[in-house]
Amino acid sequence: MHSASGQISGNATVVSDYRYRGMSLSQGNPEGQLSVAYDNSANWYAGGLVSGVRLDDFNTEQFIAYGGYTTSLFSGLSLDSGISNTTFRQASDYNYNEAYIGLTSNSFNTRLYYSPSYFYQNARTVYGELNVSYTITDNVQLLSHLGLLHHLTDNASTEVDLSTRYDYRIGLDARVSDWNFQIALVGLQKKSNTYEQYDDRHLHTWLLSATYSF
Amino acid sequence: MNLIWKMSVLLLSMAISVCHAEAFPVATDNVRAEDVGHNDKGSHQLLVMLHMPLPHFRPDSSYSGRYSDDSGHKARRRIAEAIAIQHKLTLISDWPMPTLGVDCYVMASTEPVENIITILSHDARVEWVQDMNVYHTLSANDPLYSLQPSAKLWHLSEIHQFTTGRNIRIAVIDSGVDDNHPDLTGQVNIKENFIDNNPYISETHGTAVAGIIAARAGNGVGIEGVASNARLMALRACWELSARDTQCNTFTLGKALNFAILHQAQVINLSLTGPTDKLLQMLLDAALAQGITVVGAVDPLRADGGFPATHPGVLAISDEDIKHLRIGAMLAPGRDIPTTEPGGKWGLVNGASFACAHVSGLVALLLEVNPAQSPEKIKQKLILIPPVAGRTPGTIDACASVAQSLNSCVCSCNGNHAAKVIH
Repeated sequence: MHSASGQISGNATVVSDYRYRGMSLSQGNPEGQLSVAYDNSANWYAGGLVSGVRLDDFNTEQFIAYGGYTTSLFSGLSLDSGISNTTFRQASDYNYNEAYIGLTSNSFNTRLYYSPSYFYQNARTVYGELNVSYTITDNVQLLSHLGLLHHLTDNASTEVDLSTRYDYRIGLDARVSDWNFQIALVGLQKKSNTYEQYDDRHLHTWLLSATYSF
Repeated sequence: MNLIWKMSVLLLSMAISVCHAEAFPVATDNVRAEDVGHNDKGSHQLLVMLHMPLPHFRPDSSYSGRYSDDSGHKARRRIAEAIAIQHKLTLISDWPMPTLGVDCYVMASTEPVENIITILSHDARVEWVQDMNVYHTLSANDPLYSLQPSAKLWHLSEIHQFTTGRNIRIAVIDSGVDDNHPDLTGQVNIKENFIDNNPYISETHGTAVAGIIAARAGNGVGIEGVASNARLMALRACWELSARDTQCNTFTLGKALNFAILHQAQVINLSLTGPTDKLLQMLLDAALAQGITVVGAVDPLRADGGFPATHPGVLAISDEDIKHLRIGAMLAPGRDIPTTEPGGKWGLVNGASFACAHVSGLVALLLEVNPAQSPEKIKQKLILIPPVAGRTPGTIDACASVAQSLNSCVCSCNGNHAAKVIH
């Protein structure tokens, strides 16, 4: 075996609507994203993503920095844990950190996230998700996602609904050379008094994305 | 600001896409499968393994997060191309092997590759590098014995009252199987071709092996496979050079083994032989660790029995070659075996390849009785005939093996069934 060496990879994406855990961070508008990841042969990884967002009535950028460690449990199953930091330029009230742990196998992954202060409510939250994929052909996959956000604290602002909320995503992903094209239906459970920055009128929407990998 | 940002990302993507067209020649279109792999000292192909990271969290909104969904493939491709340019090699092909956590790149050189292999072994970017090895199937040519259908030798009709290997997944890593054959229709669940630039065709050796293992029973024609209700994965990693010579190589076999492991084969049949090989050894170890029983055919021309048959944990099977008993081989029917031929025909075959196929079928019979058995347990369950005059020692007694698994009599139960001999 040799000393640890690393690989750097990246993606450039255009999405018709930047949906994050079911909620639009772009108010239904298209956005561009760039991400870079570093993977080390000792199973450490780190990366960053920058995306355009539209919050309230102004456009700004979101930055996500993350890092973690993976380990193989047995053939076909691996464990992944790490932390991420999300910041918004010109909207630092929305900044938050999360720690996560997850399991990945051949056709599914599941992950649990914890944040001590999610977005701007000073709320402790946990988010759990399950992603299942089904291979239709060598280059086409059916993707599905189900997520659940749960607030652990009740001392945040009373203007927002703090109960558990689910989100889902189901779609098709097609790979063409270095490109991935997706069409998906994304949705969020309807709640009253939702966060102001997420447009409640568009709880369920179709979205398209194109990603170039480099 | 936002519109400019979006347009910038889009234009940047398109620019990178255009500029990053292949700057380095990749010979995927004009290399024939038969050219891939030379086993002599002047071998001009090598396999370069790059580390493939385990999948992990990515915040990209389009990320699907599958185990084999891999946005780092492009990064490894760049590394492989840089290595190829540096050492004046040509990139031929690549295949990710998530079972081993490596991405396998086939490269070719105009010079013998021993020096390059030594140099690349010290390159920090490379997990390991090795030769491309060549493998051959094991069918013999001259029937020396009078016709003894395997059905009579192994009392198949009696055994099939108790077990038929129902739904056991058997991977046949071999040349192409004729799954339109009347004796094989419906028996092949998965059919894959791992040979570049060489489309799937039905070939003699693979069809013969598949027929011995799982030919349909009770369909009014032909033969009855040992495990007539098993499900076959016909994984074409070998190609027919002539009527008597079927060849495979490290890359094609590696891809097929990786596939069989990922798709949860329960038995892998390897009726072929060749040199020991690091990639294949690691894949065999991964398969055995996952509880897959691997059955290999012994090479009669090698005193040590050859690879993969004598890889630790693999069941080494010969047809009548008692000199390999001392290395732990077991014997099974391999002389004058009637089996399926491409084009809806049947014929007789001979050789260790076909003894190996018999045992793969028998393992499936045992797995139907008790599905969770490890390869070590399966080996213990294979009972040999008692040492009586006229019977070749080391021969597997299928009836006794199944009977012991069921803990009841299976063959000739009204009198003189074989005494049980614990192997």
